[in-house]
Amino acid sequence: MLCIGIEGTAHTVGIGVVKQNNGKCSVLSNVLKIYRPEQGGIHPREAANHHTLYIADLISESVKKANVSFSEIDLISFSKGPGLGPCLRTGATAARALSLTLGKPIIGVNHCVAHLEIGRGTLSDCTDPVLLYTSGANTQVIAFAEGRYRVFGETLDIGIGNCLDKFGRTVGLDFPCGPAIEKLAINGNKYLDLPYSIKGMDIAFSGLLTAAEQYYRANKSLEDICYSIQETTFAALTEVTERAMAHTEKDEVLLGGGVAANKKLREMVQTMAKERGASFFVPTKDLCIDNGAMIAWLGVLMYKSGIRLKVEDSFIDQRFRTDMVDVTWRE
Amino acid sequence: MKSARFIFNFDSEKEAKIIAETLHPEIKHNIPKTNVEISLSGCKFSLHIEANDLSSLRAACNSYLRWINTALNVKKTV
Repeated sequence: MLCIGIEGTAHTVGIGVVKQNNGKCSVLSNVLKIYRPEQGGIHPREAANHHTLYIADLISESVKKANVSFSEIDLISFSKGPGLGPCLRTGATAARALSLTLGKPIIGVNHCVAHLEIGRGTLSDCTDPVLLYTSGANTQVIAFAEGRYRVFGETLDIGIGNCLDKFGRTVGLDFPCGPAIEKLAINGNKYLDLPYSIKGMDIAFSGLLTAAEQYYRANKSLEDICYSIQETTFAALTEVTERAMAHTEKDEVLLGGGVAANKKLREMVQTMAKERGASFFVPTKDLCIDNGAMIAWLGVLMYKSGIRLKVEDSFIDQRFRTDMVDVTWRE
Repeated sequence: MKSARFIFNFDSEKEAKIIAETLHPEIKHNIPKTNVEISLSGCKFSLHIEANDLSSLRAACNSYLRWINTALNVKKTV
């Protein structure tokens, strides 16, 4: 089965074509464009305008790169949510237009579940992981239990990526700020006390962000602040992930989301996994960030498990929770 | 109540039908403070938007025109 996936939950518009090979995912193409605001954070309407500008060309480019023709596509998959309404609607509109033009079925998928499934689909031996999903808007610890992907822990306020971006903007770094903070942190060596907020299994970052900004205004070394932010936030994420692994008795951990590209986070989670005798997985960077291939792959899994969607019912859902999805494609 | 009406003459009846069906779920899931109706007659596609105030009308017009543009671009790509 050949499926084209359309991702457009936030700043990224991405199109991917995937094929199922012996139960695993073969990514034939995966192209994207990222909306980068000139200043400040993401503006939903401007992001949607950006997606409108590029989406048709990206669809064309993706099909060409996959070396297939439109008539060979069997399924059109799109991000149903969660995400920003104007962006989601643009992606869904493109998916509907493509489905109706080609006369091929459409399916709407959960963006967060797609991050997990692309890991299971592309990495051999990754079968039943606990996912630490770290992106701009979402920060969740997810694992499969009793027919659904359950959220064992998540942020109570802002996502980890958003925390890094907000701090980065305060100190004048370019979006996305995570890589620049990672670079600065390498030269930091003095740990500055920051709030370590874990409440039950959930995490909060906004207090830490305020404290970090106060350090910056007090002229503390930027390298030391970046180092301290990474140490504190990543330790909290690793702790919650470890507790979820202990609770679910799973021995695999998977990283996903844009922040999963951070070497320090990888190192901390990998060390934790090693100490528990668990396996550590992280997809390639192009599959960690928001992308169309993961949307296509989850579409394949859902469609093959018997899920069908009519075009007239292909709504988006801005608050589409991970645990609202019936996981019909897993035992 | 403020209102705007757009009439599009598409290249074919099929094209007009695709655009109408593409927009249909968005019309069912209405934007707050607006009321949208579409009608189709051959190649002619009519979009009528009513809103409580001018800023809501402008937002709805921008959204629907963006979606029509997206759908048309995608259709022409295939």
